[in-house]
Amino acid sequence: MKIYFLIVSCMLLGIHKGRTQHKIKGSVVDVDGRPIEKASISIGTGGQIVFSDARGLFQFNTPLSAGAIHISHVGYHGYTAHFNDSTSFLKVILTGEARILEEVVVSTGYQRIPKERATGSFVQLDSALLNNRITTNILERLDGIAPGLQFDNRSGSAPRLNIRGINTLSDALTQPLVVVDNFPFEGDIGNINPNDVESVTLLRDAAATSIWGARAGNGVIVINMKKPLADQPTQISATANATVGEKPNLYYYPHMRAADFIDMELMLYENGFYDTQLNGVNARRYVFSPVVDILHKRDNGLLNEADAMAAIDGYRGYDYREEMMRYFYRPSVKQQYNVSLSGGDSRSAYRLSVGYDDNAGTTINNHMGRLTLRATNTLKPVERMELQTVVAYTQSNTANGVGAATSYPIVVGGGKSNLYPYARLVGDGGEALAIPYQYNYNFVDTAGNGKLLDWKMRPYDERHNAGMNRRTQHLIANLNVNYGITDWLKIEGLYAFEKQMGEMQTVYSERSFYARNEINRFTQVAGESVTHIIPPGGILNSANSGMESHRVRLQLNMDRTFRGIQNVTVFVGSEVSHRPDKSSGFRAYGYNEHLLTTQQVDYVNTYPVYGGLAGDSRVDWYGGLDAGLRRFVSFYGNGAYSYDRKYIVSLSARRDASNLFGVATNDRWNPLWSAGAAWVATRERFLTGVQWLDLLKVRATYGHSGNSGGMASTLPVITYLSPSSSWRTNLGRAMITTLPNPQLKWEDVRMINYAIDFSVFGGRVSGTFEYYTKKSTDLITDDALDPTTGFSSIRRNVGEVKGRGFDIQVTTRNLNGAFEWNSTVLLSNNTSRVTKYYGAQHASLTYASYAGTSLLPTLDKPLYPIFSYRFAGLDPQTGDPQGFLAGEVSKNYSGLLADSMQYLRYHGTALPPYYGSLQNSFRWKGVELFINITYKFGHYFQRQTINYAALFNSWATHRDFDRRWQAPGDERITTVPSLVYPANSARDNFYAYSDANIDKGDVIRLQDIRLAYTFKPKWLGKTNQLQVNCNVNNAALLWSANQSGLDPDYYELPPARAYTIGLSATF
Amino acid sequence: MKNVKKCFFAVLAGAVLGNLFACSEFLDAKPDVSVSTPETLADLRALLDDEDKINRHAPGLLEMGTDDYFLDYSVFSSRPAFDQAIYLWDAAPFFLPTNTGQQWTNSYRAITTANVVLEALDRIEEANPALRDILKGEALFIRGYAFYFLAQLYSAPYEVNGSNDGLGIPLRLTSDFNVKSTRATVKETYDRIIDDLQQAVVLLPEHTDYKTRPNKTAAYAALARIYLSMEEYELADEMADAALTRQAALLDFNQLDFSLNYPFTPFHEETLYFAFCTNGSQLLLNTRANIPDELYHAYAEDDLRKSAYYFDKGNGYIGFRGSYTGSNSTYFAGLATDELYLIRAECRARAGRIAEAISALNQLLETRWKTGTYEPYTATTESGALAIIVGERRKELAFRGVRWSDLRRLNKDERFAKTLMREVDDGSTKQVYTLPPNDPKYIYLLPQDVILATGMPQNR
Repeated sequence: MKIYFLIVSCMLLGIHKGRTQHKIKGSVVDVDGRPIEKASISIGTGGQIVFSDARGLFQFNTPLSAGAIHISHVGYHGYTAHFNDSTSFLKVILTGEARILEEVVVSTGYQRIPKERATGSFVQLDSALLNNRITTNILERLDGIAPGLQFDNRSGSAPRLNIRGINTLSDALTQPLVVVDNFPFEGDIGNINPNDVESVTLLRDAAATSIWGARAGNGVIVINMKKPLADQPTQISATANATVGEKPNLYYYPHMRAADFIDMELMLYENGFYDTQLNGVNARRYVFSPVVDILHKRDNGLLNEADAMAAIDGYRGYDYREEMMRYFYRPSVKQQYNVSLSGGDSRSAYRLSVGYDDNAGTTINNHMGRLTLRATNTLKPVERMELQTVVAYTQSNTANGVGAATSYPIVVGGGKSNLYPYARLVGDGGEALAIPYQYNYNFVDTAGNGKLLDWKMRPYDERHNAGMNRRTQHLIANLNVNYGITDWLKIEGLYAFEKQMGEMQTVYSERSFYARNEINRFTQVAGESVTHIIPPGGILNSANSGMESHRVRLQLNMDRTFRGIQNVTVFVGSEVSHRPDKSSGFRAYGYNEHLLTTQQVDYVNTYPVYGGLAGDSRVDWYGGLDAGLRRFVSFYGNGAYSYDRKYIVSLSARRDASNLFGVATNDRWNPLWSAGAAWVATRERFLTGVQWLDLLKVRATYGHSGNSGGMASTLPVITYLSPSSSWRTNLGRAMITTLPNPQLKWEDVRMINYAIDFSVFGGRVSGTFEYYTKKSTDLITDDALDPTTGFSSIRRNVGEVKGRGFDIQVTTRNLNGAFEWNSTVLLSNNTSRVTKYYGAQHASLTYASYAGTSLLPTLDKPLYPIFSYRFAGLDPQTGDPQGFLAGEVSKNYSGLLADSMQYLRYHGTALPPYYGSLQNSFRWKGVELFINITYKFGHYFQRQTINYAALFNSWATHRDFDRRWQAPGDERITTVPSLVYPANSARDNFYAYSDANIDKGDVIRLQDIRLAYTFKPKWLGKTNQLQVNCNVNNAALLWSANQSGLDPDYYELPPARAYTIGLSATF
Repeated sequence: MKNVKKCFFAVLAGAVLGNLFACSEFLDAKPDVSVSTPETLADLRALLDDEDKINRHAPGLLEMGTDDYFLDYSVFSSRPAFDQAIYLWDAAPFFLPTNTGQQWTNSYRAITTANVVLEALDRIEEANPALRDILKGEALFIRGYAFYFLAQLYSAPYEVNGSNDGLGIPLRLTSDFNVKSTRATVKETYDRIIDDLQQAVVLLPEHTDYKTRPNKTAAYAALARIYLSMEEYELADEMADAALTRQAALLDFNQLDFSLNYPFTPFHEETLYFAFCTNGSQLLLNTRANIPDELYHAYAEDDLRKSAYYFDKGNGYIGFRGSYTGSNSTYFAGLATDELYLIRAECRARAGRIAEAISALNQLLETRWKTGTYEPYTATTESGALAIIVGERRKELAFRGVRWSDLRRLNKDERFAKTLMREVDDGSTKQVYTLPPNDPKYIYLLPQDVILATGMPQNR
């Protein structure tokens, strides 16, 4: 929250007669009366500028008898003061603009240090910046506002974060460590209410992260929760937000039109494509579309030609996306309410906060409710001692529809993937219509002669027939005790308790297709007698999980200043963590959700499956038990010495041990360290005269952090397996998961960081340039192993990734008067290359088909590399795609696909090497406007295209069908190959993975807009604050390098534009 | 929790004294309860009961190159390159990682599991001699049987009177991945297979409750099959005898329910050891693989195998449904009594004991025909008897993982040598591919990544 509170007083100290040169003195101080050094004072319009000195004093001579001066300093609101010929002294009080306060305090989770005294690379994001996007999850708010923090949103729901690139070759280890206040957060980060967050600190280099040791190899995100302040009158804050997200636009998917699809089906039918399946004994196990069914009936004399064709033509105009958008999707509505109460006197302070979120998702049965309670108290029971307690409780309930038929695209099974486009889900009378699903529609239509349950799938009904409900409870209880042994030595003890319990229930009601299908499959019909192996009724899957975490830390802090100018801060400590978790699950058949009754089934014996749909099988089983335990013991220390706030050196070291690693204790310990130095040049005497230069600070750090992962063992590791219904015997069993592998070590990330912090012209322009190099060694990767060992790979420390990059942050204060305009530009670059890799080498087809969707380490290339086959255009005679094999134009597709890696074309990486944002904020009186434009450059992506084999066999459609080559000459306007029958999957794959489908990923998007109006009514004798705000998030894609209309940042639907209206008040 | 407390005090001490020491007991706790190292005989029992790894590893290649099936062009053209290359007996099929996994690594995984068990038995001190013998016997059986499968694909056929010093398969006898794989000679390969199974015969129990676990009879049956493939007919007969004296039951096909999709039930009375293959399914799924007329029409109308094994696909093609696994797996890779009758018949015919040979065959076929319709075979010459037996062997053991091995063996005999043919007809042009007898292509190339990783010599 920005505070606009400006108090100015001008004091008239003396009267002078008008002279040609008029001398005016003054002082610049902050609201607490502390002098502000190097404030710039521009006099009149003549361009004359003076600066305040260390005592905040300034003076100037002016020929003017009256005029205005403008006083500005980074971190404060500018102010204009007027003088006339009677003015001799001006006292200016500047109010802080919290957002760019110079005296930023960063938190590492172990200590809070003024940024000014830090050598490492920290980024501080305050709550004002975090509130520009209203989300339920705090991490989502960091996208596009933090330099060096990259969001990979491609897979949709769960973005993958990285700080300064990826330092590991293991997919599971790419995420940064998330710390809440003092400890790594063990629960689901969705349990944190963003309204309780004060700020977020990003730790980017080794000097910042090495204090987190073996868990910090990917950087650290520290979330600092709001804390009560001492000596503060009782304050009540309330916020309410409502966010409406647009309904998902299913037409974004480039899927085929029904008419084209039907023509294709007619062609396939005429060619006898379906004969085998239609006439075979297994016909009941295949899904056929209505068109094929009609044609088959026609050929069997059940329909005449005219009726058949009329019926088929009737389907041509449908697209079930229309019905899905109408009946299955809706605009999302998210409501967020939060009230907090805080206050304190000199001995104690408190903060209480209650939040409630209610999110109605975009599918009609998706809903989330979350209640958060948080109470923080600080107490000074005796002099020198401080006690802080935190108790927080979060409860959330999430409901979701289940089943493949409740979201687009509907996956039908029975040999097919996506449902044919002309399906109808809702009849003209509003009744639910059945679609062919998993089995032949004609089979389920007549199976059992009425002795079975209805076996049809009706997606419209299914919406409410089955559902999943997840309930999470999360509790935090922390106690911090802080005792000052002397005024420079403190001992600190922390205990943190965290507990999360999750319950997930999936209920398939007896009306659901899932339950009906399970029951029917195990129904035995003999004449009039019907035997149910699975009792009729619903099916319940229940899963419970529990996690508990205890952390204890003991730390000694020293902060001592010698001879007024030398400062030493040291802390040493140790901590232990103990985190057991367990989970269990079960299934109940014959479940009645109203009576909570269930029935027993036989899981042991095998039974025939109705209609011979499968061989004899056991009743499906679900669940099991699992338990795990993680323990860490760590010792750490950090020291910093500063001389006259001019020269700063820092040193940090940490050793970790965990139960995850190794059998021999000696190998468990992993020491990591870092060192840094900083020089504040502007405090040198020779620069104090350079008045336009407010700050110049040079920093350099070197250090190591790590990633734990894998398990080293001198014996083979075996894993016991849960029972499976596919097994022939019911014996307990185990498999070897890892061969003896005693040499495994922790991954090591070495980083060198150089940085310059600067501020000029009284904060008009300020910023940070950072350049870093990284070398990640001993990276654990699945190293290809002689398959003769029975394993194709083994985890070994063989990988190395080298990277370098820069992060630039520049803030300018463009306009400084009553109308304020500030801009911040962020630009980050990271280029990392795999420099050592002995892991699995795949066939070239793997590289071309993955095309940046997987880390896929490749020597000398960045992670997420994009390769493609070289496309040599379409054959002008046939429309066949052509490539280059041994330098010749070729149509030998299997040869092309198997061509050696060196002939593939390498494009680049799928992860943008350049990214950043441009943030502009405008302010006029109480009105504030914030606009954030984000950009990503230098990456590539692969477009999906038509795959005829997949289209014929499994109904995977693509709109490129329209653009296919149809007649000679078309090769000049399209690259999409002609349709051939029978389809040739090698031909399809060659084209799909060729460079004809690789595009540049560069995008510029208008990410967030926020408009707020603040006013300060005086009620009950005090000034209160009210703010109304409107936000638009995911506002627009402004520019994209590719012409296909695709958003390269997302594989599936890009997030819908969201509008928020909010109200907040502080009393 | 005691450890927790203890450690908290240690941390306190650590912080104050600046001592760095490990709370080793605290850190010894297992990170995941379902994960462990093999420490008990029960652990080993569980490892050998993992049917996924132990009973399901048989390589699909054992059936993918035979003349017992063919593909329609539309199916052929949509198969991946490796499957197409194997189908056409390409001299150098390129193994993608999944192919290497299915045709090589999976079998070696079973071998490694056996080695882990054998090594653990040396380490684990638990007393239970009976169980120790069983586990050791099973491990040796599994290893020997897996080596045998691999030898049928990647090793030159065994020459009964030859030096057999050609390239065999790598014989991995340790779980240590640092030990480099090298190729044994053909002789060493078969010596190891025989040795493993001979030891298993001694150690294994007469009876097991589960057919996924081998017993003595299974080990004898395996040896019979292996000796037959080595043309050691006397020994093969001996082993078949040893097995048949223990278990001779045959299934009367008249009792089968032909209305079922898969008429055989798993673990039926003929089954001695249950193993199967699912990974050649790309080509061999019964929706894809068609049965050639030559084979299908070899069954007489009253021969119940014609309907127990096959079904009309409705598109003019015949498919296979007669797997002893009772499901649509690629093929049954286990052992059953019917094969023993055929081994006995063949070996006795080769020994000139024609009457005994034909009698063994008739005994088997009696159960295959509609009751009362079977007319017993008669033969007077070795050649005549052998021709009958070899013909019946193919008909009885279709999709049982023995055809490829039989082709390799029988091709050496001019009387039974056969040139295999594949046609690829895309509607406009028809191409014919052949595999002549004793062609080097009867020995598959080792997967390329194996050669790459080990530097072992490649075949041909």
